[in-house]
Amino acid sequence: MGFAPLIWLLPLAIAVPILLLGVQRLLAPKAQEADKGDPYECGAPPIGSAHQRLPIKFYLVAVLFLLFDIEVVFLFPWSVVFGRLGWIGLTQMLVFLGLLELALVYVWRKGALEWD
Amino acid sequence: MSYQFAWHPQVWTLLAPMMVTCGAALFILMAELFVKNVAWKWPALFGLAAATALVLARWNTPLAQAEEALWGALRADRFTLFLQVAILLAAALSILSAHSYGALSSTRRGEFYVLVLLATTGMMVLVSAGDLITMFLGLELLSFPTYVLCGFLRRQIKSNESALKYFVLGSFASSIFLYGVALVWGAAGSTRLVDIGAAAPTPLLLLGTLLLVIGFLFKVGAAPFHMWVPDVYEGAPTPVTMFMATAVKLAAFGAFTRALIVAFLRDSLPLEGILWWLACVTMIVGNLSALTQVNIKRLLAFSSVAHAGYMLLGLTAVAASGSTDGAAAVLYYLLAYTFMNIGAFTVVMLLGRRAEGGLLFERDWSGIARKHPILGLAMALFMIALGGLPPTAGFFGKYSLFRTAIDAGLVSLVVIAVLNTLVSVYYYLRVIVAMYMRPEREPSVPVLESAGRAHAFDGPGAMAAEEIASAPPPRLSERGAWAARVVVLICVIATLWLGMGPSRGAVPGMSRIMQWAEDAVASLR
Repeated sequence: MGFAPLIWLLPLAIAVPILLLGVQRLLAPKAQEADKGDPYECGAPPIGSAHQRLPIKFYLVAVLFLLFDIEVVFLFPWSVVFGRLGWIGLTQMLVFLGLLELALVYVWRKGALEWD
Repeated sequence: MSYQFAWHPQVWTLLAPMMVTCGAALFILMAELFVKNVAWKWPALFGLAAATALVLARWNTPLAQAEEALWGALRADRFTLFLQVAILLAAALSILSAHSYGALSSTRRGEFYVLVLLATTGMMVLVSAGDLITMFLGLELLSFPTYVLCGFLRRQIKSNESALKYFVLGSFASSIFLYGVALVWGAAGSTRLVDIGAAAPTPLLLLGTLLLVIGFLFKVGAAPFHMWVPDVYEGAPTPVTMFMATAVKLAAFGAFTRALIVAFLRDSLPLEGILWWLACVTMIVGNLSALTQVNIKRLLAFSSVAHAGYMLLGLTAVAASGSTDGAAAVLYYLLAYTFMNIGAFTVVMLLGRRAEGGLLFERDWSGIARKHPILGLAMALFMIALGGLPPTAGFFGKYSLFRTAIDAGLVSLVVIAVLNTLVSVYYYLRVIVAMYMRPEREPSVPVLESAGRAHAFDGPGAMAAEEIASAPPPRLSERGAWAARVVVLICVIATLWLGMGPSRGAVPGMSRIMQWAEDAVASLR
């Protein structure tokens, strides 16, 4: 079977993290300080709890961003073979984009793009 | 190199029903943004009716060139058509029920119909898929809207729980299915079912097949992958529950049957023993768990697990004998089950208080037949049918399943199935006993307290707990609800007609639908 080499990836995938973690445990200098337990905030002293409630609008924006970002991801491979796909390729991509524009209209009219 | 598109005009005929349902969904989605207070069920039902007409018009027309043009990704055989019609029917009945249900909740909003139509499109793709990738596409297109539909009563915590559980477990099952697709592709070098059927049987192919089987079994709710069924069915809005219990089951069993017969049932793959045990365990687990249920939606959920077991019995018969009679019996049973189950869930919806509360049948259903004699009679019929007693669809469904299994030499499994049927009659009769033979009880205080708790998350429409205590909320059936009554009537007629309808074939009384199911299965090979 041509897939046997894949099996060899498994011990490798297990060994590499163990090795990396083990080496740093052996070699790294050890110093226990209270500050080390703090969450990392770009060097600034952390203020308040990390478990804060954030407005759900951020989530909505992130999801919408992902949606239309993926749309662009699909455009890249298409643009590479665009010339060879001809009219059918163009039509299919226009149908795809058209459906996504419907989604945009929906999001817009539903007020998901309004911050307040 | 250039890409050849062997497009053929027939492709449009093949795709038309799916494009119609999808187009209706998009139309409602867009129109709802600009027009308010429209009865969106009409465009939805119109779309479903048009799609049904387009499907039925193809019964005698094989679309070989279209299949060729799509590289076999979609099949246009009668198997597809039979299941697509059944799915469209189930969707239409669920939408009608949802219209009545909407009087109490938000299910009259356009999005509800959009999601049902999109899920229906996914099911139609799933049952017609002749390629594992298309199958996965259909599976996802049916799953995503269903996840959302489960949580449609977004202010009720049960509904949210239902959606979350279904989503997490469902996406896990989908990923197992996809892993199976990858392994099968690695073993067979193709994702087309026909090519997989001709591929050399290797351990890798068997492993991939097993993962695919797990994916399907999750969707049909067969043990040991049934854990989500009771919680999800209980929490989802009742019209969604009936949609999931029937249409999703139709689609998943249809695709499963096609995959087994076309690709995976071969002497070299030991699926027969696996299916034997799955059928056995599913029947026993479903029926024994249903025995102790006090909530009627959970009872029907476990009964649907048990019914998945009976249908697996039919597939085991196919695996054991190599004859496709078992698959025809499964199709017939699926159709019968659709009507019995939609009918039962619609009555549950109509007789429940405030749609969700008051589903504990010993307590809330006692003596209900006196006040609602027609609905009580209909419910009794559906319970008898689900239990498999004549003269109903359930009897002939079980008869043909057990018959083909005996013909295939599975006598011990059939004995187990018959014993299970006897067990199931007990809990179906419990509902009838509660409705007819117990004295009617006024809702007592503890009932109302629990009802108040269940709706603590209900938004503007929620009544304060004290208000509920002073006036018990009306049952849906006390408010007109004509659409759901029509659904009950259709289901009663269909359940009786499938049991006593115009006969044809060897068994007297067996309806002509059986002939169609046999035609459908015959077109697979």
